[in-house]
Amino acid sequence: MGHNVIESVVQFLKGFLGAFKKGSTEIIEFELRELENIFTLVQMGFFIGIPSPPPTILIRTMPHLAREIFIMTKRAVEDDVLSEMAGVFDI
Amino acid sequence: MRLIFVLGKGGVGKTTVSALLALRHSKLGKTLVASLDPAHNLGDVFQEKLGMKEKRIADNLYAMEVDLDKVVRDYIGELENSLKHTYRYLTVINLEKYFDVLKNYPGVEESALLEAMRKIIKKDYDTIIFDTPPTGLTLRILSLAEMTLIWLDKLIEIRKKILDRRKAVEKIQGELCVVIDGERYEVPSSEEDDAVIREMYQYRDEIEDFIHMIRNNSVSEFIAVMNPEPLSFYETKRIIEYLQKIDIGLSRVIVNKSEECDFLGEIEREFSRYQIFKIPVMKNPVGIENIRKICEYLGDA
Repeated sequence: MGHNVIESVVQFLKGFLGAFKKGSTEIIEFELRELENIFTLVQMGFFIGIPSPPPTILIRTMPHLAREIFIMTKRAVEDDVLSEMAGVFDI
Repeated sequence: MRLIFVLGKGGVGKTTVSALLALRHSKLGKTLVASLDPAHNLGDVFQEKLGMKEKRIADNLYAMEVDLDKVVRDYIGELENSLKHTYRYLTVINLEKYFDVLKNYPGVEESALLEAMRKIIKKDYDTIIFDTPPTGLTLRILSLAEMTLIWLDKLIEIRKKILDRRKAVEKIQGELCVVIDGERYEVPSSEEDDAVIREMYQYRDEIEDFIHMIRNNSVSEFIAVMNPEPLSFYETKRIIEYLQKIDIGLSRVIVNKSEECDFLGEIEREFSRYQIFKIPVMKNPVGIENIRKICEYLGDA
């Protein structure tokens, strides 16, 4: 029983620290996703009619932009950015 | 290596002058004349069928015609393949249909031609002569290099911010990775590990080298071809003004189909800073033997 209590306390502390870590990087992660979204959106802007760099830049960087394209398409289709921002700033 | 760009309004005789220059330079070393004009005439001048591969015309003289449609198709094809093979999950959202639109998008032709030009410059020749497309397209291609640098600098700035934030998150959360459609992708947080920023730095260096090359008078020469008539005259003035804005100097003005008329005086006054060469009307400007006879009008190569 003593072992179970210690185990529970350890799990609680892990969860608490995990939430604490998550909370401490929430704003940076939000900013990171926005920057990654903008970075890819700017390069692929010609698909949606916004001024964009010469397509050669995209040809050369595209093979390495997996995460950024995933974030961009996810943001466009699923995410509610305003709600997310409200959550981050505790509004 | 020497690069010569022959510019001018459509129909003034750029192709004929390019052929003349190529013939002249072939006496000094291995020479390639490449036509970038969508309305090719280079093959007609040499009386040879030309294509994307260099063809030997005479001793030390090679010629090619760049197929603009193929260059644009290949250019977009690279992007399409990159998307399809690297990100299979993207085929679900039907990105293929957008590539038909992209082929006609403003700027794609210029980008494709700039890349074609850079590929040609890497070939092993002593002199490469570019018979350029009509003025508007050529000037856009030349200024595209400068625009590319500006965009790259901005994108590199954003990328550095991304890497900084990834590093900050990594310090607390541990190594970052993302799983998309069952495939695990590493998320780099330093410039050494980030292929995207390395690719942008590399491309930036390549474009900078290209710009230095075209601005270096000992490597590149820009020649304007005109006819002794007002429209051609005003277009040549605009070419010179535009080239000055992007720090490129003209070296020669070649007046093709020149006759003794009042307008020649105006040309000599306006372009007195540059070497002016006059080529008379040629009865039959096709075939090597015929064009060889008028090489003397170009002065020293």
